[in-house]
Amino acid sequence: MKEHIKKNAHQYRLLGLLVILLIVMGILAPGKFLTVKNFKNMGFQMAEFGILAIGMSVVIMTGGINLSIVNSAMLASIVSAMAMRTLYNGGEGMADIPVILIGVAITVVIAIACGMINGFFVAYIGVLPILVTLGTQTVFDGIALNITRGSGVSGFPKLFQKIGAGTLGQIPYTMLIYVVVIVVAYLMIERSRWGISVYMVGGNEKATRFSGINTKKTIMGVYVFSAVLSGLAGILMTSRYNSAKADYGSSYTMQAVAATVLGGTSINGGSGHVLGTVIAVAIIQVISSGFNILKINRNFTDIATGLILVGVLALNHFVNKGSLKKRVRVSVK
Amino acid sequence: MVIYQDFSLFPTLTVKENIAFSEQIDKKRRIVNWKEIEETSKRALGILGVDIDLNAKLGSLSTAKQQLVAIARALVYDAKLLVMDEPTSALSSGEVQHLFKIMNELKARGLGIIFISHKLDELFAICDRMSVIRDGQYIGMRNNGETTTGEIITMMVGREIVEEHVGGTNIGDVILEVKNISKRGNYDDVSFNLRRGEVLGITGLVGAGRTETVRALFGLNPPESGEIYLEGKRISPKSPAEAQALGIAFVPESRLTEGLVLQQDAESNITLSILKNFVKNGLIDFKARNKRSVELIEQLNVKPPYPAMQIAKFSGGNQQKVVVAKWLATNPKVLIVDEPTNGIDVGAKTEIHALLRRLADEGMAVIMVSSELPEILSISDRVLVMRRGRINGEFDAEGLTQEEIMEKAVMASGEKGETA
Amino acid sequence: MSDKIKRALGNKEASVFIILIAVMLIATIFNPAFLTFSNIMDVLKGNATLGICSMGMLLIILTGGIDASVCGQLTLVCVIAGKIMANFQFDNIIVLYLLGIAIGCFTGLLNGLMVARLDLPPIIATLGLDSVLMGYLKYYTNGNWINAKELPPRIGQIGLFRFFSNPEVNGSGVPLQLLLYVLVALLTWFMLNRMLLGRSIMAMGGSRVGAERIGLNAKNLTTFAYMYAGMMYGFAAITYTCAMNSVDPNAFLGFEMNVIGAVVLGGALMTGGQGSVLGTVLGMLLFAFIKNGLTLAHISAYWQNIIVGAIILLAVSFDMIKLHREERLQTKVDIEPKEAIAR
Repeated sequence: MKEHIKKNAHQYRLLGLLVILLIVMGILAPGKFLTVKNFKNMGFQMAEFGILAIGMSVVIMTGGINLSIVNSAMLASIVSAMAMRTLYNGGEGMADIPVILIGVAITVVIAIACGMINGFFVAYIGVLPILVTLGTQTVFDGIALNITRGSGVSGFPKLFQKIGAGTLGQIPYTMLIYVVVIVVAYLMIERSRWGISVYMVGGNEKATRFSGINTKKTIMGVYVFSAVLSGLAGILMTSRYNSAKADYGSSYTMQAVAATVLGGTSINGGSGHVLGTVIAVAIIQVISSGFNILKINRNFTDIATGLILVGVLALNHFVNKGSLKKRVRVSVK
Repeated sequence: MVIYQDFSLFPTLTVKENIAFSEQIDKKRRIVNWKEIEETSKRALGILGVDIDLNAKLGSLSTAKQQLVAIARALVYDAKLLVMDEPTSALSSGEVQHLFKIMNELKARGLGIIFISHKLDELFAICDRMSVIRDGQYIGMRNNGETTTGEIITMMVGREIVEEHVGGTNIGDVILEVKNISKRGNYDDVSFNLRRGEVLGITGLVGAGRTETVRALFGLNPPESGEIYLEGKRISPKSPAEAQALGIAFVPESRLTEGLVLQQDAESNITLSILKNFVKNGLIDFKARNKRSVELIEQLNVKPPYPAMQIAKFSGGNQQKVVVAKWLATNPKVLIVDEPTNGIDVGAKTEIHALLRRLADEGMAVIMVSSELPEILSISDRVLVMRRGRINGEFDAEGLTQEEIMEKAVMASGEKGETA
Repeated sequence: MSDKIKRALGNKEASVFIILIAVMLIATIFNPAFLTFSNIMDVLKGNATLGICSMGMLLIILTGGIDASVCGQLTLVCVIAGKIMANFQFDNIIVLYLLGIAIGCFTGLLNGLMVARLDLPPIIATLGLDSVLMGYLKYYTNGNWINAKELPPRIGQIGLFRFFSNPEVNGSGVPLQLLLYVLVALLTWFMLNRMLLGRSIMAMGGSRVGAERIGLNAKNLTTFAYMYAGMMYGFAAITYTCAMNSVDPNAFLGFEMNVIGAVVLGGALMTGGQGSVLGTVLGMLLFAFIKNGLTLAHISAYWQNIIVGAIILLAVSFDMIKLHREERLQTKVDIEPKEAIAR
């Protein structure tokens, strides 16, 4: 137990911070913050952001970054939204459930394609992830804008809206989906062979490759995984807004990086935990909702996230300073 | 003032800047005085008597020319002493002759030169005095003309107590056959074979192509021509994963950059090569993984025996045991170890030697690349000596001396050294 | 191509130049209106902001860094200057430029300190700053424009000013923005090629250890690069505000991609030390003319982004493939020629 706490000290500290924030918000906004209604609201918003952040985390664990994560989400959503609109045809086409299933399938397929493009350039050509994803960001965004002419796509079955807006008792469906994603992501990243390889590649790609692991495949997998999660987040966003539009969620990219770093994943790769990111997402969501309730402009969330991001890393810098190891060059007998 | 002739050159700047840039800094010029740079660099190259395009980007020059630029830069400083570390390692013999001519001229101008090299013929051709340093210790100094190659070789290898040669007890049939493999700039026309139960030592100087050759067997540096046979079947591994599947294991030279994932614990490192063995219902069975890592840690006597400790915190010797353990876990047919005892303590060294010998006696075929001759002599059954990308000598380890090996390592087959 | 021209342009720049000529030729074939004086001048005027910013980004990329806060820094200067112009009807352009440069210098300094002193990865430091700046600016402006009516009339006049303009011919004369861009490019060229400071940055980008060994202060040089970039953004922001005669807080969303793209297209390597002013100018021209050519060929703005994004991806991929090839063919062992043994 002691070992466990020591190993996950960062996560426990984050959890402590989250609890403190909840208490502070509860005191600052009595009767408004610690309510079922507010938690339900946070649940609606947190899911899509959390899923994107987990998708970002796994890329950063390999030492990469995925700046196109929101754009692949929206591209996939838009294509699927158009398909759903056509198939549903204002209620005169196919029935609700098949339309939705086809829509989800299309989202996932397009997302996988986006992920494979990123993965191909990073893993097989060796271009820096930041350049690749900056480029694909423009390309995905361009395609999304091109097919929608910048406007929103809507006209889905009523049932589809339920995904993003419906609840089971008091618990939003999105929250349930989020929990499933967390569990699956946890199992895949921290307990599967691929996941272990992800950490190893992030720590030392060469040593991992030299140990007989196909690191290119591992990296490709990371970008595909990230894109599939982005597609899922896209579905939630489309459903919540009841439309798909190219510029939805644009501030999520930065926030996802911030949540990942805040959650304890090193930007250089090789470390991090899914649960760390999940707690960090909750912290950012509490700040954002708290600001909202306290009538602080929502843009201050961006400011706070930016400051937290830089602050956490600056803190790490001071903590790590002076822990350089001496190396022996010649063994003197 | 001492100028180290090393890597502090700027590949993206021009030749003249590389030569004269620091002068500008010293003179605190805000605006670069190109005329001054041009004059200074011209003068420096003039002393060397070489013709290099002043405006060419340094990175686009051959290594030989880059080296001349580095020397020219040292001259700008009015250096009294020039330290040249293996300056001829990438030069052709014509370029070496030219460099020697320049060195003689510099000497005549009153400059002192420290010339660090493994190549004895070059030392005898250019140096006035020779000092031998071994394992961080000063061994002795001899004047050129009053010594022989043999004496220097003796000083280089020392008279240390060589662990007694232990030959194999269980040498079987040929398992690996390498036929005339070549790769430009890596190795040339290399052939040898390896038997079950045998430890094959491969030695030679740094830069002789030993590592490049054994990497070819592990799919890292595939040959352009030639053939490799494993158990009679032709193989051509293109990646470590393929090589591993064939039953070849490789402990790389640099455990820190190629052998270990330093942030991770011992368990993750030790089981990295056999991760797939622990997959149960799509997930890793951490209990089984932990059990296996504990076994391996015990088997190799890794200290402290904590699988959960971060690998960076282990001593060099124990880190090396972890890398070896990682590969033993795959139960390979052929185990290749590259400088297996580099920078580790004596105790761990003895353990690794005993382990390699034992593995061979149990039927594994082992290739050991090493620069340490006592090590090569003590546990190898056969020894290959490489020189400049080729195999320059093959010996039976029984009764072999360090001098015989060193002679093959430093001199071409045709030349003859006088052994002291 | 003769050696002399090749040397003058550098290998990388020469290939960018050839591609640029090819693009211009193709664009002219599709629409002869491309190769007219007024069109070229309009393109250059429209892309002067990009060009000025790319000079700053070039310095950062030379140090091996990257700047994701272009949007935040540009918008900050535009909004502050715009508010001053609108609220006080202030139109002293010199003071406005100095103010813009000073603000940019400050935000750039923040980036520089985070990267050089706190060792933050450049992408994180600059993303963080961008987030803070854009968050504040969105709150402050609420997304509202400052339009031409609110700005002093002189601002718009400055934006429209052209040298050697013939009042009888529409679109004649050289736009002021082009001149400013040329000035900035010359200044940056002078600094990078004639001043010790610039050469030191080039040296440090190529070999940080080497630079420190000959007594250069890598931390200060890195900080300076970010500051210089900030000053360029400040300068560009004022130029842009005059040219547009309005302030749109959302005008620069995603603009860093264009800026980085222009520098990378111009042959700079993200690893640092490699890149030139001439290359960056050519990269910017390539970027601008491809977009303009596509416009004249009646290809939608959306497609233009896709094509430009794809071109950048291919350009960096090509560089990587070449680099890997060179690495693979590198000589590691000096193999003795067979004749030498025979002898």
